[in-house]
Amino acid sequence: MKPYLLLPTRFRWIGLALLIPFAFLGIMSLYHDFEFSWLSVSTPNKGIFHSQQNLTDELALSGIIVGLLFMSFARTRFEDEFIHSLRLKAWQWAVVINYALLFVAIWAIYDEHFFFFMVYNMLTVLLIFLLRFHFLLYRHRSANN
Amino acid sequence: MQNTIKVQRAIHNMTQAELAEKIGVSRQTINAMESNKYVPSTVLALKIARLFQVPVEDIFKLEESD
Repeated sequence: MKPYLLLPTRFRWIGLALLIPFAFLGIMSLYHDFEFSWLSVSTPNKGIFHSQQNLTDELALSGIIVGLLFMSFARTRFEDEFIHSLRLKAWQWAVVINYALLFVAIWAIYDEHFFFFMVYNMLTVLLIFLLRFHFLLYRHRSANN
Repeated sequence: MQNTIKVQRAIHNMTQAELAEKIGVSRQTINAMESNKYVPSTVLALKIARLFQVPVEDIFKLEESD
């Protein structure tokens, strides 16, 4: 079974190099209303688009998502069918936990807190996958030695 | 599913790492198969059987629970 839809191994580090600065930018933007003034744009006021928009948070979130996707889909150094089965198990785990958390949040968290939860929920499926996958890899590596 | 990979390895005097290299998988995969934590694909099972020059049923056997 040939693993499909994977990026070369170096994308793990490229992803991490993207994630760290953009995550920092995202936190600054979300909690301290930090904005780059050069990212302010004016658009014609049509439909859902605001006439004044600052693109700092858009940039931060895009960077975080691309970084996490690169890390999630980077090939491990020895990607064979067994590692692939661990990968699938980790994805399944991540989706189930992600929606379990969302389900709880829908009933337990309201208003502004729910908004903050949803910001994180956009990323948790990838984060949980990465944690679970690397835990499974670690466990099999240590069981082996 | 049971397997006799460990026995076959001993007969051919082969380490997990050597077997792994010959069939193009990681050592973890051999270890997981030997400890019955992973059932290999048909392709991998056939590769192992070909390497040890025995029919695939000599290495992999169904259990009652399968």
